[in-house]
Amino acid sequence: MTDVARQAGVSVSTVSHVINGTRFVADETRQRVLAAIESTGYIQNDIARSLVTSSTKTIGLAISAISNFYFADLVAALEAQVRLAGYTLLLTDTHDDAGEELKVVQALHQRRVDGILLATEAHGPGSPSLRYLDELNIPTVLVDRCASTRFDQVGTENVESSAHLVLHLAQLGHRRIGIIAGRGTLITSAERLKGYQVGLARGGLTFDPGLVGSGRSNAAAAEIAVTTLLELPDPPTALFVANNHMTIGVMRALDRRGVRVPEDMALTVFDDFEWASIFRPRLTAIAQPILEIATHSVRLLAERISDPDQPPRSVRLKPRLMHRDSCGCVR
Amino acid sequence: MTRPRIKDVARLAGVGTTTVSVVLNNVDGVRVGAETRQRIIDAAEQLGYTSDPIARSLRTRRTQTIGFVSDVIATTPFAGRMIQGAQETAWQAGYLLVLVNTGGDRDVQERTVSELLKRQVDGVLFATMYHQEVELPAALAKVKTVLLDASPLGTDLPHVVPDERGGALAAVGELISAGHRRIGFATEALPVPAAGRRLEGYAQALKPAGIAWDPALVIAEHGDTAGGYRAAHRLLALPEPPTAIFCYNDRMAMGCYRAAAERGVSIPRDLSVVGYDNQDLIAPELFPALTTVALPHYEMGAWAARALLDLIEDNPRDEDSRHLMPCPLIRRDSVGPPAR
Repeated sequence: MTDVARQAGVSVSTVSHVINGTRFVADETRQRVLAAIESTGYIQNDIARSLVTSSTKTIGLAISAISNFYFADLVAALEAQVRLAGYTLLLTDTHDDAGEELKVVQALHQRRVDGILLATEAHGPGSPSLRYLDELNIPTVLVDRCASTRFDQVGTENVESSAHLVLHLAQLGHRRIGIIAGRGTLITSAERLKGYQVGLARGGLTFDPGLVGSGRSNAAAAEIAVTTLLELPDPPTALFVANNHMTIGVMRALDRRGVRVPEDMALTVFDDFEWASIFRPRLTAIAQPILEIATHSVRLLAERISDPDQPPRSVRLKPRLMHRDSCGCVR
Repeated sequence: MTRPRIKDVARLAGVGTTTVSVVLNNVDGVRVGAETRQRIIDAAEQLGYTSDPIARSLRTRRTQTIGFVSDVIATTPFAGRMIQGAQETAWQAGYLLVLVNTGGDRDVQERTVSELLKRQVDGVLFATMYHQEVELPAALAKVKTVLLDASPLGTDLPHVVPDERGGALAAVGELISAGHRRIGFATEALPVPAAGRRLEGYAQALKPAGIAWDPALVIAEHGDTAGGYRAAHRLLALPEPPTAIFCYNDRMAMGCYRAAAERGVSIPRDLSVVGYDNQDLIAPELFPALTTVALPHYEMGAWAARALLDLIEDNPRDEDSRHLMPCPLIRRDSVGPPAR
């Protein structure tokens, strides 16, 4: 900066005022300073500045399994929104592990991010990372997984949308409807399981715990869970699958056993993905409103940063139903 | 949010701030009694005190951050794997990734790179989501840069790209070993590096086997399911159709499967198929499961991050700064001997 000042023939503080817009500087002087900045290739040091202004203009994202295609889309959408809001995004991976999640949250805090977007593994406010964020009063928005009302949170409305898909199967005449449910520790799994029960009740069906397959949110476990359900004395004729990865496992298991969709087994699934419409039959799926989740998450976080004391808010977004062939209602 | 400061630790432990600093930074050659040392560590733990990476970065002139600039953090699972490889490698070395998506727009690229430089990133990973030759934003000249899944035009920066030719050579070699002599290639019509190199690999595999080049067997189409479908129909309608098809990617192979099914051609009994990409939701899920060539995105991401960290930390490297990442063949069930 001293080089810039020397070349422009002004003081260092004048240069600073021009860069930071902190005081009026005569137009002619201003132009001279800007020209000097250009010719010296001066780059402002945001880090040093952050020590003075105590804002780093960065937002940390802590999210699991970046390789999951739903999260890959979500990360892309969040990055775009964060940039629009004038921040840059620091990316970390929680590996869906409570210990790792605490570590990355602490690392982000140490980097003085202005706020954190977190897709938490936790179920309830007692988790170490949520306690850490809460106690230190770090501006945080829980994204995708709405695990604690002590924070701002944004996610898909899971219960009603799951209920809708299950009721749809019941209305097509299915009496034995199974669910391949996700990992129990995730709040989204619990909500979709609840939606399944609500859907059954609305369709006049009783909940049978024997029809709940434990897919643990991954393809391999879902494959085993479906096989177990198919071997029941009274197997299901329809299945609701609670996420994209498990859908892969379900399709694999059904294919292997020669079970045709939707003739022998009707299928509705949570999460739409690029290939859900290429699979034969095309899958009837719930598409999560990724763009809206990102927009609202970043908006809430920006508002939280500027007003840390407002009461926490929850935003639930309605997903879109992609009504295709696997439910079997169009033959 | 107030962070605990070194003063707070010193007060709680009943020592001076210098002693705290000496203990927590493991400064050599200064003796502190074991009991005092433990008291300081306990106090730091109790308060949740850690030394301040921001303040430290002013001292070391490193921010321990790496910019990850990409054209699209796209909907493909590829992108995610590449970021993950870079992210985990960086994290293990104590660095974090700053993620920037430019949408491939040149103006946005220049602006975002300048932004990153203002934030004093220690280096930049410049990634494209499929293998491309790129002109770099001018601003990148001011910072250590490694290219990921891209090769630079007109400069000589470190980069990693997939060994497309080697992958195609392995794929077609697999078909030749199974006894095939008429091998079709359903390829991407766009002039992307991968298409050119894979075509070279295809030709290079035929020659030593004494198989003559037949232009009718190479069909350029859209590199997606519909393109593969059309290409396969055209190949299978030839007067002397191929007994095997090498597809530019797994999505084209998926289209090829559908065309074969419509013609009553059974895979692998009547037709062998090899794809490229080893794409999660396609290759293992097709029936029969698709033999294909893996694109090691995670490994490329990790390689690029490692190379950049070595540049940043001035570590000596014995590896070449231009790396062709091998693309291994993944054998599944879609290749058999030609029908008699």
